[in-house]
Amino acid sequence: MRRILWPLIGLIAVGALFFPWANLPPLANLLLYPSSPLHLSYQSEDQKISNTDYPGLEIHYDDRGVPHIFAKDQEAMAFGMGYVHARDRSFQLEMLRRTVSGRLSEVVGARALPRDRWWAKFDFDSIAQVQWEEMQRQDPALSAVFKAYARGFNHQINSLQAGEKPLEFHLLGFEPSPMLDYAPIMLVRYMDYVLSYGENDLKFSALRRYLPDSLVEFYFPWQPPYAQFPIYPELSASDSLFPAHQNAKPGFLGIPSEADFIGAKVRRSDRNEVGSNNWAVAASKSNTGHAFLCNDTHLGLDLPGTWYEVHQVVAGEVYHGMSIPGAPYIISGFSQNLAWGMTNATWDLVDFHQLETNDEGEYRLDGQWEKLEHKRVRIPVKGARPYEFEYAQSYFGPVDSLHGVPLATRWVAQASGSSEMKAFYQLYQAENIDDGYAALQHFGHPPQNFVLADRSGQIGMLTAGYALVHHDLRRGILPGTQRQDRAAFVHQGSSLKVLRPEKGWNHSANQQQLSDDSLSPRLNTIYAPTARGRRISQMLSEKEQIDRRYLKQMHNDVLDAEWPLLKELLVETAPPAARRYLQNWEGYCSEESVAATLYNAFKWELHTQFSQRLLGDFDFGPPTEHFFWLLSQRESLPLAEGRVEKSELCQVAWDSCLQNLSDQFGPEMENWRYGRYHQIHMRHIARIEAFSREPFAAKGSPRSIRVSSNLPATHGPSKRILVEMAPDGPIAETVLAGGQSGQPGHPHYQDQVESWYAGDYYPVHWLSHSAQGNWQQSIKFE
Amino acid sequence: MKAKNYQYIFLHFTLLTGGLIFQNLLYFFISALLVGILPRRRRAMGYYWLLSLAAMALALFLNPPQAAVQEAIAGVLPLGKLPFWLLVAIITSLVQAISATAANRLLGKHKEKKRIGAYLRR
Repeated sequence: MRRILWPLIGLIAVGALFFPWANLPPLANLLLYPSSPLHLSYQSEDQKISNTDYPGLEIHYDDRGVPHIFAKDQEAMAFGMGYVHARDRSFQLEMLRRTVSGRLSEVVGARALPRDRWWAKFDFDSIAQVQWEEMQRQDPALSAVFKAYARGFNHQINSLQAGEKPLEFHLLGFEPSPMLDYAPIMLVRYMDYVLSYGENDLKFSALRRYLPDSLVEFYFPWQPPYAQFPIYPELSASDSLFPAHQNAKPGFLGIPSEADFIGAKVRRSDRNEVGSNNWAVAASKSNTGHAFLCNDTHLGLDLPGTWYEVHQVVAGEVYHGMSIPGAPYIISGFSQNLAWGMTNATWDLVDFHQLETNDEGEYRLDGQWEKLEHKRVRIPVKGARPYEFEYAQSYFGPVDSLHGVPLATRWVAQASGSSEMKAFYQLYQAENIDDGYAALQHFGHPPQNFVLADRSGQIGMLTAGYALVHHDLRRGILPGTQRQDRAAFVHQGSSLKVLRPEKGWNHSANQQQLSDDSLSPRLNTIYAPTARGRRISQMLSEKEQIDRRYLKQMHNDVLDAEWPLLKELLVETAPPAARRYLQNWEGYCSEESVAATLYNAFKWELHTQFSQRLLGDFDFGPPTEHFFWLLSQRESLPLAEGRVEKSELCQVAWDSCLQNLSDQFGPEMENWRYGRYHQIHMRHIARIEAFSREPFAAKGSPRSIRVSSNLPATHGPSKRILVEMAPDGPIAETVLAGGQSGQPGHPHYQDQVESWYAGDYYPVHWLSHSAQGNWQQSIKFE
Repeated sequence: MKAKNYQYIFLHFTLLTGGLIFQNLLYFFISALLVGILPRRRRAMGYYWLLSLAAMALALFLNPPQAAVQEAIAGVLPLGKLPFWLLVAIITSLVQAISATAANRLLGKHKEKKRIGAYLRR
């Protein structure tokens, strides 16, 4: 008995450490020294790595943690990119790849199942594999770059000992997965989700229950009158892809919803619409005689952020800019000859088709019953039995049943035939804006408004990528019984463009591309409010010679450009105590402003109150800009039954918002400073609170150039780039909303937040030789 | 005999330290089991634990944990004032000591081998 006592104690002790208590990862990963994160090192010692396929490759990190990759060719550069992405962002990339593949539950447990189930039905792994095989046949050079990227990533993660993997892997108790060759194709799908997926159509179909068609047309018009502020005022419908349809009369609502779609996930909420900004200034309008380009892309303010800055020198040619982990190329940046930046085109790229099915598992298509292709998916779940479900594939896309209604989803992420990475590769080779324009013809999705500036001082703008071009000009769920019901993905790239604008500048801020009545219904889109675009346009046009300082001022402008629409109404209806703050306020949403708090709290309350009057408990509302414009024009607004007086609505909104503010910040109005009301919360990507940043005061509003999403402010300018295309080499400054490293606690995890908040920038070191740099760490491959 | 004892203590210390600094749990357990069975002589658990603590101290001295990493971990684990490295050191040395003791006891009766000369003399 005594002989087995100790072995038994040993077994129990070891077993306890490896047992997943309460579905937590085994404690052994964390608490046993050999595998514990105590081995993690954020110190940067120089390294020499031997026996690689890319001798001569050098990676040098500067004082901000920006890697400078010196490579003899594109393949070596891609290897280096894979290496640095693995070193600094492997957990982020792991989450991204698992999300797209529908495999998050395998590492985080059953709470990720709804998300995995949603992703898994699109089967992007299979789509990416097919695309990858085709790419290997058609474009061996680019395929080699993808392979080198995966090799670089895998080389880095394979070199890690058990204790050296990033902290999140220890906490969640799993190992980094090897990178697959087609990872960049999967990344594009993730960006499709971030930028192009929305379920407004489901809500539009349910609108029929609440409103007659006339009111839908009144509150949700295709082209709200105030929103006529296009990116390309120089173009008309005949310049677009759709001249043949310009006189088509649009309808309003598709199939009435039989289901209760109140719970539908609407990701693109108009109230939180933040979008992105880009603009370029031609040499003729710049004080230096060189073109300028500015870009600030508004994404989730996560830690780590979406962007990873990188400097690449490939066979002596220099490129600098922002990459996204998962892709070997710079996505937004500049070469010696060309700078490029983007904003989202904001087109509706998702359609829902209602199928007519029978008990035999068939659906009606062109009068015939077609077999639905049933697919079974098995999702491994951490701490539970694998989850299995079945979905069907139809001509219109994967079919899911929503409250018993068979709905097929058609989404741009299912499109193939484009090569986004090829577009970026060709941007590297471009010598001027015309080459840049040609390169972007390869760009497919998610569609973007690209701004270009070249070394000769020329600028241009084009909208590149697929549009989902509808024949059925109705909003909401579309029929799915005829082949022709399916809208086509039409590559848009050659028509929506203005190169060398006469005015000497161009800009975009996610607003509509053309001021033409036929385009919106054909694209089935609600664009971003025009406030930011108006302000950018105003600032660019009112200054004769634009300098660097002015451009920075623009990036950090906190004027709420929707303020002029509401100013009169606010001052007229505000209680005296609030009016005191509002009457002399000019619309700047700075941290100390009490008026900014009153204005924002009132306007969102006003929209909420009205939406409830209009639609009851249905969580939807008219586009905010259109609603505020209507209010500024009328004394009362129609409801399904009767009307609501503007004065009454404002009274209710004021009462409610003042009460809320008082409850939140106390009765003294002077304490209602904007910085207390509107705070930014930078959250860790896996929402681990300890790795997130404490909320801090925001500057700007959802309608200022320096944008900050509505409460809670979790979205905003994820990066800012300012480039002057000087002939001797670009003079650039950048800043990230976070830092370079994805490792919590690392000195570069969130070291740029203060500068980003203050509106400061870091100068870019435009180096073509490694000997020119002052490096914090060097890695040489032999 | 005394010198041999020191040799074994040194061997045990080396094995335990090796088990810690190679970041591999398999090596970690194999080294602890080897410490328990070499030589076939009964030892108290306190002996293994003391040696393991010494090995742990050496490992932490050679590879001191970074404050930034510890702070990040402290934010996630509710440890209060207990430093994370100390928790790891205590748990790791205990596991090492228990494993070694378990291996030691598994071998049954521990006897000195009779010298060959003694057999010859019979």
